[in-house]
Amino acid sequence: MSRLGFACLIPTTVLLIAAATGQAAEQLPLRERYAATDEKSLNEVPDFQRHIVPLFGRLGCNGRACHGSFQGQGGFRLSMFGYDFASDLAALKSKDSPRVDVPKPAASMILTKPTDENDHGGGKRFEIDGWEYHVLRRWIAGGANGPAVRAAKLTKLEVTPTEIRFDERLQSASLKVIAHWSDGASEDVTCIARYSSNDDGTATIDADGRVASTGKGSTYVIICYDSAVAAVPVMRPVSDQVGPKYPRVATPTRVDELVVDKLRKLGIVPAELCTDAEFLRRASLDVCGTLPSPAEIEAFLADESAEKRARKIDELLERPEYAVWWTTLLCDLTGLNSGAELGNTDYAKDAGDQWYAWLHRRIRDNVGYDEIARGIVLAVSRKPGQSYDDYVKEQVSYLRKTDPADFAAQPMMPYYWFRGNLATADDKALSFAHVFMGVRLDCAQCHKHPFDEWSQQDFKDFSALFDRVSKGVHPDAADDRKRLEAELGVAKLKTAAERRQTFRRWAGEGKPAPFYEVYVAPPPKSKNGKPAAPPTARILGGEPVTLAADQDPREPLMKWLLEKENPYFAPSFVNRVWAHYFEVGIVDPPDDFNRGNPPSNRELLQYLADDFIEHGYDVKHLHRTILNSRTYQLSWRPNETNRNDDRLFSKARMRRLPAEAVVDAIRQATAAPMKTIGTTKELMARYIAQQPPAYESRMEYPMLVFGKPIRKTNCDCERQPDPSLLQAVYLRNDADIQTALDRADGWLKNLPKQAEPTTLIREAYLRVVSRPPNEEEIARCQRYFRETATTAEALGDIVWALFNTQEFITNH
Amino acid sequence: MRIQPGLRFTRRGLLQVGFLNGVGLSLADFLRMKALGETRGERRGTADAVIFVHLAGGPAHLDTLDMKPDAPSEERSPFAMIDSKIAGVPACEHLPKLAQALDQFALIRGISHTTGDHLLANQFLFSGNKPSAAVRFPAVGSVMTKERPSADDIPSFVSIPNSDANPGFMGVEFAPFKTTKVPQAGKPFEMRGLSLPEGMTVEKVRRRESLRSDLDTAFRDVDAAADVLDGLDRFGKKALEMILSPRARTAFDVSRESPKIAKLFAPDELGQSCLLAARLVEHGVRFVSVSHQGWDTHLDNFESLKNKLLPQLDAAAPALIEALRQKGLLERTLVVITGEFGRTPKINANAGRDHWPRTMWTLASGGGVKAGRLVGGTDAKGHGPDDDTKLKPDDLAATIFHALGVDHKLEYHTKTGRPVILVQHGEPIAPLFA
Repeated sequence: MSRLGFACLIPTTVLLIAAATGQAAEQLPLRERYAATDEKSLNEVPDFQRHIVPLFGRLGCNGRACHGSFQGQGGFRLSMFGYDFASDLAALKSKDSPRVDVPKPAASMILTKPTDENDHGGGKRFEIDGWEYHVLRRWIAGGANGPAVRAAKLTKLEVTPTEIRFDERLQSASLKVIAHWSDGASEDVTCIARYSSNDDGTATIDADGRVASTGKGSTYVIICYDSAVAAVPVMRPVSDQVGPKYPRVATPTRVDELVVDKLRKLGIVPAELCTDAEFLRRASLDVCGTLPSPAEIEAFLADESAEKRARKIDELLERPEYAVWWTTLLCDLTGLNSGAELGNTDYAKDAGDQWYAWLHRRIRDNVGYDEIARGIVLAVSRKPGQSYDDYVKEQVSYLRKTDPADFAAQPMMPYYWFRGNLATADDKALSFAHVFMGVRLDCAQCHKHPFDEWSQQDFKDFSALFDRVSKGVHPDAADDRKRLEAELGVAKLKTAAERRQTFRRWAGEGKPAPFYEVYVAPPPKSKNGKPAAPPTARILGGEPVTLAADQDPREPLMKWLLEKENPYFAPSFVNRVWAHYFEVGIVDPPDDFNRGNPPSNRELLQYLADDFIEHGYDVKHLHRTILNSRTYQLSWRPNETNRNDDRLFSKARMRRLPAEAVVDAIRQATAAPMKTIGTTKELMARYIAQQPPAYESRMEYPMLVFGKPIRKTNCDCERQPDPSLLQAVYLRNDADIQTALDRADGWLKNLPKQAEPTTLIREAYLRVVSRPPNEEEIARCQRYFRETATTAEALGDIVWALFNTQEFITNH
Repeated sequence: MRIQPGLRFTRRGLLQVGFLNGVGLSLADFLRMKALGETRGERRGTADAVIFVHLAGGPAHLDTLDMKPDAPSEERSPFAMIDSKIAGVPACEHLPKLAQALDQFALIRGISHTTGDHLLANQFLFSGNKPSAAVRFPAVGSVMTKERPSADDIPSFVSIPNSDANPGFMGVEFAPFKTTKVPQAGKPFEMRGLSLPEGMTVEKVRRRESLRSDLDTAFRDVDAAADVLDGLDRFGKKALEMILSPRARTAFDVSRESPKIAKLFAPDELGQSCLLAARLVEHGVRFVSVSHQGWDTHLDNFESLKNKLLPQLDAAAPALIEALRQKGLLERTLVVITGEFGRTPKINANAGRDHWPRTMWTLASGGGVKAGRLVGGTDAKGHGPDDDTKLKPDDLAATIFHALGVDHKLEYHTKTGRPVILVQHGEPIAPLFA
C-alpha cells in the first residue's frame, strides 16, 4: 500500500480509502432521513459523535469565529471543529445556561437561536422544520446524550470519486462520502462532512460536497469528518494538448517520467532545457552557494562532451563549498543559534562550533541521513557508564588549546537538546515534529488541527515522550559536580559572565571545569516512595508506548522514524531538499505535512523517498537524482501551457539568491582574481559558513536585509526569499557596494595595464551574471567606456549596473 | 459559512498572506470600542506618527520615576527625591529637567510581565505579544508600514540606530530601515543606502541607472511570469525614487535642523537620536524607534545612572516634547519612553540591580495622550504593581495602535495560514486618553 497514500498516513487509527467500491447497505443521508416533518416515525435517535458534532461543523457553530473561539461566543463555547465531546456536551447541558431543554425540545436554545427565533449573533443558520432542525430536535428529545463509553470508532472514510477531472464541458461534480464504523455500520455522511478547496481559483466546493470548476489548473478539495481527513485531486487541463494531442517529451530519468505523468493530465508541456551557462550558474549556487568563476564558465562552455553536466554535478558535490553550504542549511533546520539558544551550556560559542563541525564532518563524508538523525535524536552527553569526572575530562579535551581532541569524531551531538527554546516537553515535541517529520503540531497544542487529524490529546501523548529528556546535571552526578565546584572555588565567581569566562579559561588550559549535560531523567517516584506505574506515551498516530524506567523514550521514536513505511522522516527530508532546488516543495510549505496539504505529485514524492531509503539515506545520491533530472535542468522560459504553473515543476522558477550567496557573490565578483573555490578554512570566512548572532539587532546588515534565518522558530519560512525595498536600496546605494568595488585588493584597482574594454566587458559579465555578453550588450558597454573618463570608473559602473540587474539577484 | 483552510494558494501559487479582517464585530468588541469612543466608521486616534524611545537594558525603576524612600536599606536608592510638576509624583534628583517637564507626560507605573531575557522582553515590548517559538510576532512599526505606509520616497519605519524590532511573520518587506549609527551634533548625517556616498552625485546615479536599465534586459522580452520579478521591479523603482529624493536625504541630515530646534538637544547620543526622530516624523516617517543602550546596570548601577544615563534622559525627554511642540507635531505624534523591564529591588554585590520584569514604568506624551497624570501604580516597596494595576506590555502596544487609529484586534494570517490577532491579550490603556 502506498506510503504516502491516504491509507497509511494514520495507519492504526482510521483507515481512509477513496475507492470506487459501490458498497450498498449504507444508511441514507441524514438530510433524507430527516427531511419529513414526522421525525417520530423514525426509529432512531441521532448520535452525538456521528451526527450532532459534525452537523455543528457544517453549520459553522464550532468554527473559530463563532462558538469554537477560545472565548466562546455569547457565553457558549464548543471545541474548535469538534473534537472534545465531553466538553461540548457539558457546554450544551451546563446548569447555568443550558442550550438544550430535554422536556421541551423546541424551546432549546440550539433550535431557537440558529433559526433566529431568538436573536442570534451568528444569524439564521437553518429553517424551522428543515432537516437540520429535525435532527437536533430528535436528538434532544431522545435525551441529548453523549457518545457511549466504548463508542464505535470510525474505521474508514470512503470518498468518491477519487479524482475529478474537469474539461470544457464537464464543470461540476458531486462527492459522496461514506463513513464506516467499527460496529459494522456505514452511513452516507455527505451532508454533514466539512469541505474546503485548497485553491478557489481552480475549484470551489459547497457544504453539500458539490465541486465546481472555477479555472484551469490543479488543486485538492479537502473532506473532514470525525477524525478523518481526505483529499481529492481536482484537475482541469490548461491547454488542449491532452491525451493523444500531448507532444512527445523527453523523460530521461524516473523523476522526469513522474513529473511529466502529472503534467500530461493537465496539458502542460515542460519548458526547454536551460543553456549550459544557466545550468552551471544554477547548480553552483544551489549546491555550493557560490558563483562559478570566469575560467570555470569558459571551460564548461567550451567542453563539448555529452556528459559534461553530470560530470559537473559530481564535481560540485565533492567541493568543500558543498559541505560548508549544506551544513549551514542543516544548521538552519536543526536550529543552531549559539548565541541565544546555547547559553545554558556555559560554553555557547564552543557548543555552536562543535555542532557545526559535527554536522560538517558528516555532510563532507556523506554519512547517511539516518545516522546523522540518530546521532542527534538519541544524544545524551555522557557515554554509557562514564563518570561525571571522566565526562568533564572528555569535554575539556575538546576545548584545550594544545592538541584538542576531535569532537566531530564522536557519535552523538547533544546540543540540539540544549536549545533554550526547547525547555519543556511541549517545546521539544513541537521542534522534533518540525525538524524530523516536517509536521506542524502548533495547532494541536491548543485545539484540534483544523485540517489534520491531530487532536490535543494526540499532542499530549506525543509530548510525553520527551518528558524525561533533560539538560543540567543528572541526579546521580549532582554530588560529583558539587565536589568539583568546591575544589575549583566556583562560589567565588560572582557573575554568570565571570563564571563562563573562567570555565572557558580552565578548559582552554586543559584543567577540569564544570559542564552540564543532556540526560534522560529517571521517572518520577510516586508519593508513597514506590515507583509509579510506567507512564505511557504515543507516537503520533501509533500504538501506545510503555516507557520503562531504564529506557530512553526517544528510542522507540527513532525506530519508528526509520521504519520503511514511515510517512514523515524520509519524505520530509527529500521534500526539503527538493524545495531547496525548486523553491517550492512537492509538499509545500515543506514543513507542513498534513492531510489537508497533500503533495502536488504524490508518486514523485514517494519515488524520491523510496529511492533515498533504498540507497541507505545517501544524501549525495539524492542530490544527484534531482540534479541529473531534466526537470531540474529546465529553462525558466515559459511556453503557452506552463506560464502559470509553479507547483508542478514544468519550468525553472526564478528565485532570489539566499542572503549569504548575495554578499559572497558581491565580494567574489569584485575580487582580483575571482576565486570561488577555497579550502574549508578559507570558506569559514564566507557568509555561506556563518552562524547567525544571538540577537537580530546584531545581525550583519545585509544578512538581515536579505533574510538570513536567525533560527529561533520552528518554521522553514525563517529563511526569507522575498525581494524588498531595503534590498533594492542596499544593492543600489549602500556603501558596502562601493567599498567592494573600490577596495585596494579588488579587481578594479588591479587591472592589467593594457586591458582592452572588450575583454574587460566580457570578464565583468562572466564575473557577475556568469555568462558572456551578447553583441548588443558589448556595444552598449563600449559606448559607456567612450563616454567615461577612466577605464576603472567605466568598468566600476558596469559592474554596479550588473549587480542591479534582475539576472544577478535571481537564480534562474 | 466557509471555513478558511489552513493554507491556500492563488492561481499562481503565491502564498496568500491574508491580511483579512474577516471576523465580524462581537458585542464585546463593540462595547470595548464604544468605551474608547471608537466605534467603526468614526475616526479613531489622533496620532499619525510614533516615536518610541527604548531605554535598552531596562532602567532601574526604583532609582528614577518610582522611588520608594521607605524601602529597607538593601533596596533603597541612595538618590534623593525631588518634586515634579505632577503633584504627588516625586522624581530622582538626577532628573531635574524632566521633573520640571513631567506634566508634559503621562507616567504609567506598574506595567508587569514575566519575561526576564532582554531579547524576548524587547520583542514582547515592540510587538505587544509574548514571544513564542511558533509565531514571530511583527513589531508595531512593521504593522504600521502595512496599514499606513509613508509616501513613496520616504521610509515608513526607521530604527535609530538599531533595534530588536522586527517584522516577524510579515517578512522582510516590512522590516525597519536601520540607521546603524547615531548622528553627531551639527555634522551631516549619512543614512545607510539613502545618502549619496562620497563622490557620488545625483547626476552620476542617473547615468548609472540609465546604463542599468539598458543592460537589465535578460527577462524583459519574455513574460517570465515570475512573482519575484514583479517584486524586484516594484522595489527597484521605489528605491531609486528614495535615493534621488531630496526629501529623504534632508530628513536624515540633522545638520540641516534650524538652530532654534537643534539647540534644544544635548550633543549626546540620546539627544541627537531624538532630534533625528523628530525630523523624520516631520518628513513623514510613520514609526521611529530610538534605542539607547547602557541601562542594563548589573554593575555600578548608581554611578552609571548618575553620571551618564540620567543626564542624557533628563535632557532628551523634555527637549523632544518641546521640539515636537514647536514644529506643531505634538498632537499628532505619540511619544513613548520605556525600558523592557524594571530592575531588582535588592541591590546586588556589585552595586548593581538585575532584571525585574514584575514592574516597570513608561512615559507617554502627545498623540492624544492626556498629559500630567499618573496611571497605574506599584506596591509600597515597588516590587510589583499595586492591587488595582493590571497593565502588561500587550496593553502598551494596544495603546499605540489605538492612538494611531488602528484596531489592535485586527486579524492577520501568517505564511502558514495561522490567524493572528495583532494584540491578542491587550487593551488600550483607557485612562491615558479619557
